[in-house]
Amino acid sequence: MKTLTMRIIISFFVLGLIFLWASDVPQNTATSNNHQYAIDGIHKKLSLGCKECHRELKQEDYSSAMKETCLTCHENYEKLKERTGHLGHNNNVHASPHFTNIDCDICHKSHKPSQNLCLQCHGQQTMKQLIVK
Amino acid sequence: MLDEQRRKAMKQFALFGSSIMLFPTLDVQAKMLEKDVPVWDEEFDAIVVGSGYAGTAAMLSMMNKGLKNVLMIDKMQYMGGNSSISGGSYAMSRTSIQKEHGIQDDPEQHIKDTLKSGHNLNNPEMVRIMAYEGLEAFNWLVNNGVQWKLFSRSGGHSAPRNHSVGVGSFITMPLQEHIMKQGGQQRTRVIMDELVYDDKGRVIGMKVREKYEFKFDRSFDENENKTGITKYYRANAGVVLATGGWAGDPKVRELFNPALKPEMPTTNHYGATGYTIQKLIKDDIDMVDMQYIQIMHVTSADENSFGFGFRAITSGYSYGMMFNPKTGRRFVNEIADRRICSDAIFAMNEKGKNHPLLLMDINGAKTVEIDALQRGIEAGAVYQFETLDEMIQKFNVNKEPFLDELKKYNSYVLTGKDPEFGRTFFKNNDKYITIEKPPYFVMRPGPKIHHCMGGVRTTVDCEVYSTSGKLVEGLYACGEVTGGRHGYNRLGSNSVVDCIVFGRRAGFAVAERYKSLLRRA
Repeated sequence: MKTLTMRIIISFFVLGLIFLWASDVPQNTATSNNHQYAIDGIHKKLSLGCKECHRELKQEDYSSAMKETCLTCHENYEKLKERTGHLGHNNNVHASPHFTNIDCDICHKSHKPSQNLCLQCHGQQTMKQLIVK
Repeated sequence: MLDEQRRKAMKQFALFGSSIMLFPTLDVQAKMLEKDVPVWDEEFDAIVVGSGYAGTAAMLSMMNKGLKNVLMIDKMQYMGGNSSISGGSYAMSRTSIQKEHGIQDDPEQHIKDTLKSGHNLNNPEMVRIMAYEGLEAFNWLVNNGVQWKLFSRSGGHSAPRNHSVGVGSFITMPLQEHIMKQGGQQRTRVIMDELVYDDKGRVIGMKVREKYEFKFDRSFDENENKTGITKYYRANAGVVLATGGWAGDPKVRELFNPALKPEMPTTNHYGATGYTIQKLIKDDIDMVDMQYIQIMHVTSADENSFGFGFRAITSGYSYGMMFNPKTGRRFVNEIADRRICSDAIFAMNEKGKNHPLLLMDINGAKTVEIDALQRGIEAGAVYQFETLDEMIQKFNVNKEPFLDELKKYNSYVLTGKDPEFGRTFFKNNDKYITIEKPPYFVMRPGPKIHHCMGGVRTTVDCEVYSTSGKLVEGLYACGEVTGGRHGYNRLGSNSVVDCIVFGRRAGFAVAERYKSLLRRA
């Protein structure tokens, strides 16, 4: 009982510290700070700004649901299939038999680490090794 | 400075503490009523929630009956839900394919198998509808461009009657195309947050969030996801719930069956959370059989999810022998249903430290499509050996009893009788398949959480009951979110039948209601 009480007190203390820390972090906005919404790779080289991808009028409406803008440069899934065709039938992630026109942002993320959705089921070594940009 | 920070911390503590005190009252929310809707953003004749087998079947069926201004929504960033990654197998007797294979079978036998596995907890009328009306639904799928590729027998079925398209998306995609061609709207990233009721308790629409960003993290509680923009959709003739199961939600499935621990693997896609079912329970929607959540044994212990091994494993159960490497002996009828086999595996696998081995020879392996077998090998779920000794060495098999068991097994296959476990054997291309000819193929089955048998209680026309025993007008449900069809345990390939048959019935029921509302107006 005593240890349980101690545990509760300690967890409250830790939570308090987290709150304290969180309140001291400066509140960044997309326009004022490029650290929080940093862009890597080719998109950075092309000096893309927020509005290139986010077409919403107001900044607070920005979302990653923007396949249409991705496809203004990346064209369509037929082209994407070709681009990754060299990966072969089992690993051509853009030629999935499961989905048509799946949203890009499930795997490709500009502001946080990207991931490979196919890995939820397809665990072959060659699939695991794919690098998602 | 330090003091100031401490004071600040104390203040935040107090705030945090009081918010915890408030939490229980925040949790209890009443149903959302028409008067709570600030403004209807859009108006439809009907809305289908979910885009898997059941949702697409419901949507296309109501459109076939004349409804035009209809909308299908899915919270995910893709269409098809869990169906898009499922095996896409449809159990049905009397099909032209079954006849071509010369199989003697009938709906009564299908009903018997289904009720047996369901321990007679199934609603018998619903099972009857599936077994009989399923043929018409099967042919309807064919007419809508669905092509069946594989024909087999799966666990618990007394005859070969499983028709597979390869993967479930080959059913949902053609249906989606027809929906689009006919002008039906389909939207992804729209999550239903609340049903909206009028003052007579009828469902008249819903509160949703558009541009929803689903988080692909099983440990994340979907109730915490606040992304998206709130909108209100009016649905004049009805709402169809086809939101699927919650076997992929560690917290919610454990609520209903505490034996299902959060760390247990699942075959389900990430979207199979308990978000909707929790809302429905809060809305006093009646549920049945919630404690029955299926664990499926055709997946591999060498893969974390549905994986690639299942095709070889499925064939292995039909044309191979499963044994415990420690004892060298068989321990179950390999072609029994998912529940019996999963329980038998859990009883011997020492919590995942001693996986069973499922062995086929080259003739057994030939019943697996070559690309599926190769993918299984590449994923590390199928092992190939030139000699039995290689296998014995690799898995430390108890050699003498194993060789004795194999001899017995082969004699059972040839006589067609298994006195130990009562297994029946079927011919493939007019031949019984023994295990004699190298190379040998071995899989290690590892059961995973797969399907929710329980769910929303409905009529045979998919009308939804509330806990008061009355029907909720304007609300329909079909597919895995419903209960009553499968009882204690669902047979493999019966889910797609359930989804398509009752999906169509839900679509027809909404169309009927639409017509009767028009007549009244």
